Amino acid sequence: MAEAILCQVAVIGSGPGGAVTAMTLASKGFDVVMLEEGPYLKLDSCPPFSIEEMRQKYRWGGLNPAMGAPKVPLVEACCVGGGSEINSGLYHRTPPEILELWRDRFAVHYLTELDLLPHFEACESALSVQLNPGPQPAASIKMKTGAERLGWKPIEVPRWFKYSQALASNSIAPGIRQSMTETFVPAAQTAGCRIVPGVRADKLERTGTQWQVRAVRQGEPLTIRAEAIFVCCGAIETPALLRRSRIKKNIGNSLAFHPTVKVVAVFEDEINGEPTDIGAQQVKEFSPRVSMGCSISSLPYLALAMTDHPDAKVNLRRQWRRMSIYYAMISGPTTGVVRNVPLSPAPLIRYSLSAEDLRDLSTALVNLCRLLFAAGATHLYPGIAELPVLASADDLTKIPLELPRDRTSLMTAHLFSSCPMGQAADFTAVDSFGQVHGYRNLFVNDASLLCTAPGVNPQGTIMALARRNALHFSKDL
Amino acid sequence: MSVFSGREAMLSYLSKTISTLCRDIAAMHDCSDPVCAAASYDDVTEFVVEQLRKMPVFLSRPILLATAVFGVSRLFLEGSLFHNRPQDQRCFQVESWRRSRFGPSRDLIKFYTSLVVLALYSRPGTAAKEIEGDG
Repeated sequence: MAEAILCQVAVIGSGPGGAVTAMTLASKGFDVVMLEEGPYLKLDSCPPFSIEEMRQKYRWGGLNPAMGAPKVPLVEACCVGGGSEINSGLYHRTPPEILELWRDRFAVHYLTELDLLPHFEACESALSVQLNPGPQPAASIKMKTGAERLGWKPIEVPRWFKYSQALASNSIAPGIRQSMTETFVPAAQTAGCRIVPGVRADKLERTGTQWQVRAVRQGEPLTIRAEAIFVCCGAIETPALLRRSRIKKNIGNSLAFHPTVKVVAVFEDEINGEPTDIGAQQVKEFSPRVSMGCSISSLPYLALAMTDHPDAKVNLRRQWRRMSIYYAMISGPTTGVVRNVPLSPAPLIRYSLSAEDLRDLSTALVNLCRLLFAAGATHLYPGIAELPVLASADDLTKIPLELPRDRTSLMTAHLFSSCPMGQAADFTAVDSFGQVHGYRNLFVNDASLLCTAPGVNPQGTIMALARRNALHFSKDL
Repeated sequence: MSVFSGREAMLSYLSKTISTLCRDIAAMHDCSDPVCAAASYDDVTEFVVEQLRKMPVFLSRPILLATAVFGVSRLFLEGSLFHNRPQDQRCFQVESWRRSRFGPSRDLIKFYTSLVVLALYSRPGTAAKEIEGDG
């Protein structure tokens, strides 16, 4: 007979959505169990953005791309804390115009800036969201300089990092990322939540007034019985689990992300000193469609980016300190699908960029390159295979007006909208507070329920919505 | 030949093809000195194989099939499998697949190159190392 765990609320997934849900409900006195497929690792179990991190914390080794032309590598975490353990830590509130779009088109109720304000503030306080108190990384300053020279307004984005009190005035504050394992997960445990790592939820079943999770732990069956379930497995695994459970209406049909193209910039001076510290400067001149910023620029990532330019013969080991990677990303109406594959635990993700997406990405890339030349870059290597090196702004005409599907390297780390929320039942999967349409006490409370791509780093939105929805469930909103 | 010995032969062939391919790609990126080709890249190969095992099966199987095809693709022209040929011929084949007009050929080399490069440049001390005489 399968081992059984009984509780009032089962939270499946321990990323930003799940951890906030579990902590909020446990602190309200609910008997909560939080399941996590991955292991429970400390934040510092491995260097950030390293291959060791890929080994320990990435789902599928980071190798389940969105299939399409081009394929888009995407990054999902599989560990307690989810994406917060591996992301950049950059924080945004949801842009007001995005909230308005979600209210108008998806009929999401109680979703004004004022409605979300207490939830943003609570999460910001818990995560120590703040600007870097020390000097910014040189690569980030280049972004700021280039933007200002073009008359564009750069912004410094706050991060959820805790910085030590005593800092040498000339050193960059390294800070400690306030991921879920540093904040909401231990807080949930203190509030009485039981955390069960290493559990894969296979299927959800309704039995009378109870829900049942059919799961596997270390090869053995495990059953979790609860009055309510919050599915917080992320924008890929949440719809995959619901669809395995034959809950399919508007589930997994509208996956959105921020397709991102990168460029390696070479400067005269050394600008890459702390390669695991991502610069916080972003340029929102072309928002909401386009955003630009700094990307991880460690030597392995530079080497990876330069594989699009093998003929350039750049001596990375000698030059890497003068090099940095920047990105341009777009957000828009294109969506993809998540589907289960028979006999495979991994879902298939399909996403087809439109011609308009590829043209907008090209424009975004050109503008990013203009900014970098304005900042003093001497050479640019965009993520397009066989594109000649760009040595001046005059070379920008070499970038095709529409990025070529067969030669462009894209990626994304922001995934959402696969189970959109709202009262417009024709194309939403869950109601305004995350309850799956037609299923009492079954909720989605993670990135899946964002209605569209928000155009900004999404974790702030995910956490605020999760808190709001959990409090609504607890009748404390 | 039993089914099991056939499967073992295929696994052995794939293993040799993958390790040789990873070693060649690593050597091409590590330095231009032919002496470097004798260096050990077992750690790099190990990372690539580990990642292959973690991938969804519906993706890793086509990659392994393509790798098998890569390994035999010049058998009739050159008279031997990829992993048995001299290094210069192997590097020529890697380059020709990398530049191929056929998308899946390019994708295969890009897949291995990405993982090899990540592992190679993640080796401890790599960031501090400088190689004399590189291009």
